Amino acid sequence: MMRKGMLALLFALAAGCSDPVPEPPATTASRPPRTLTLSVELRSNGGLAQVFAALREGFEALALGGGDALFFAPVGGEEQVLTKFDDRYIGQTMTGATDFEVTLARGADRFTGAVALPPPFALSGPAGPVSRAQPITVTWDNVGDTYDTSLEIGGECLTYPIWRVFETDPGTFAVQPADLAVEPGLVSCELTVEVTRQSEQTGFTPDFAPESVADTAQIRTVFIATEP
Amino acid sequence: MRAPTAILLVVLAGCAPEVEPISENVSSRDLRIDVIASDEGSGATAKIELDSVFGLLRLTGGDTLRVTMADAALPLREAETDRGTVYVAEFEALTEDLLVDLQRPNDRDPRQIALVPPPFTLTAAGISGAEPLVIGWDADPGEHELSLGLTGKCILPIARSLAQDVGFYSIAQAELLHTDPGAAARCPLTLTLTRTGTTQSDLNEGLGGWFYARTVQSRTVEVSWSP
Amino acid sequence: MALVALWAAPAEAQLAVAADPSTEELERAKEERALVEWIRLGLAGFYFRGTKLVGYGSRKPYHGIAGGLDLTVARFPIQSTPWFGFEIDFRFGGVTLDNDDGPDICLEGAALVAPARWRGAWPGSFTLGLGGGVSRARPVWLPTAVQAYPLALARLRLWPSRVVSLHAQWRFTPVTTDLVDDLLVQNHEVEVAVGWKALLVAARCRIDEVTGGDPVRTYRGVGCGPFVGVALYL
Repeated sequence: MMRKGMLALLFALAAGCSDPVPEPPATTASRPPRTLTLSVELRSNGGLAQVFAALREGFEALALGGGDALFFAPVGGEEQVLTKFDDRYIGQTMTGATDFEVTLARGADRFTGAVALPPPFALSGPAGPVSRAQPITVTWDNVGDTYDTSLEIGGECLTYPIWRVFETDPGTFAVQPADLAVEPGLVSCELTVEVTRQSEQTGFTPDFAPESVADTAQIRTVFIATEP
Repeated sequence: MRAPTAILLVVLAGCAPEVEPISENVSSRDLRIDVIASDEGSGATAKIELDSVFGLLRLTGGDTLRVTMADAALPLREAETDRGTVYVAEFEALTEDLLVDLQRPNDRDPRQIALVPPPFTLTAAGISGAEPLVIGWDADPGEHELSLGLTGKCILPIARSLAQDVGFYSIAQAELLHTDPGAAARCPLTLTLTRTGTTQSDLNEGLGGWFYARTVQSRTVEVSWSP
Repeated sequence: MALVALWAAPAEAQLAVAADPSTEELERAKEERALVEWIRLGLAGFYFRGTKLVGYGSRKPYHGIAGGLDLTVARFPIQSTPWFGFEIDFRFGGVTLDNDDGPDICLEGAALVAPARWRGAWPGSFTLGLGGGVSRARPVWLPTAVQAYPLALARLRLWPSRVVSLHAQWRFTPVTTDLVDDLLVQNHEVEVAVGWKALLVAARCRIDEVTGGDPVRTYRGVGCGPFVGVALYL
């Protein structure tokens, strides 16, 4: 009897001394949506829209749990479920729409955030090849100054890319020859010109925490072949 | 260090010999010559430092320093700084490469050339209407770095490194970020264009010592606004 | 003063062998050996300063201190050739240069010849030596830790009375193994001592000269210090 008791005590102690079991990640299960911060990053090139969504409580990223699911759809369009990727949920759809909804489904209940992209625009540049000895002009639709507009000029032939941020949306930009750091020895060089119009929306959904934020952007790219 | 030795050294610390930063105590192979020359369009200066493990050196023991530009010797004067002695020349314009020649009766005579980017004239038309700021200068595709700076009380400063020295550039008004987003940016602007040449080489043909020169041509113009 | 000339020694030595030495002759031989032999043990110290080679050929001042135990044994053991002997010198201590310190060890040996010994009012002797040694590099700032070298020495001794002795010595190193590093190292050491019975007090000075570098310069250091010890005249 004494021996069995001692053995039982030894096993109990051994169990207590083993490596601790890691805690499971925090999930959205049973947490009220009003306590969850919804972060959405949405971007479109006019034909394809991509979304990155995350749910947080404080600083802690949460995994979906308890049967919760995240969906994404253009308003009035077909819904698709978002897939986990690191600590975010991602998805994309072929559409030129500008208004979308991100929805947390919990059983029969649905909690939705409406997200709007900036207005679309077309970006155009000269037909190449063009000479790098003269300014190269690109133009796009100017819709006023509600949105932040920026431009990036890159390409494998450049030693470093060029970024410009605009105080107002100029609708046009002339790439200066002096700015092009072409790798030595290269003659032909294809430039990639990308214009981004972006917007940040906070408090965009009453179903989630007021700190919820949506960063949205319309991005257009042109490729311009150049020669000396 | 044993205690008695340490105590003796503390006592003898007052007798410690002083290191004199004079050129006759330093081999040419242990020397570093630094040249900083600049021309802002209204007079040029060149500063030469003889650097060593003892600090900046003063020429002694018959050593003389000669700097020539276009075969004409630049008058050098000795000046004292926090770090030691430097040699300064003030002259009308920095137009050609500088030949730096240290003549030493008891050692090798190092002789090096500091490459100088060519001078230029900078022009900028005033900004009017919605037009960009158009800038022009004398182009030169040489081995120097080119940088541009634009400042004004009402804008965030612009500092750009230009990859090509083609003689022209323009900055759109939309690129001027206002310090006060609500206000219109119509303050006077100061535009500066700078060419910087750098020369680095062994001072004594692979035997030791170092030569470094930074030569700068910069020009500044004021830019005004008109309706 | 009876000067025992080197060229007269062989004939007298033969006469001495032919007949058993008398007590008086033994006493005299012992006294003459005492003029040149000794065991000396004491403590020495040095303060030195000078210039040293830094980099390829730059010159920087330095100073430091050294000190330690000094043991010298000089013997002329072969009675048939009393003019020839040997000396062994061992020094062990420490040295500090600027803020760097370490041991200072030296072992030297020399073949001695005493061409002159005299008795009379002020007995004395004159000894010459040639030999070599191995030591911590001197001056201590040299790049090598250990150096070997030949040496020459000359020593004069006088006894103004039976208990008071006067000694003067010059020691010279013409070259060292630092020549491998293109450095010609030479040192001179001069010592003047006064003895009272077995007690000996001396003043020593040493000059180190190193020639080399680019440009070629001579880097000179001078050190002086006391020696206090005991001397046994055998």
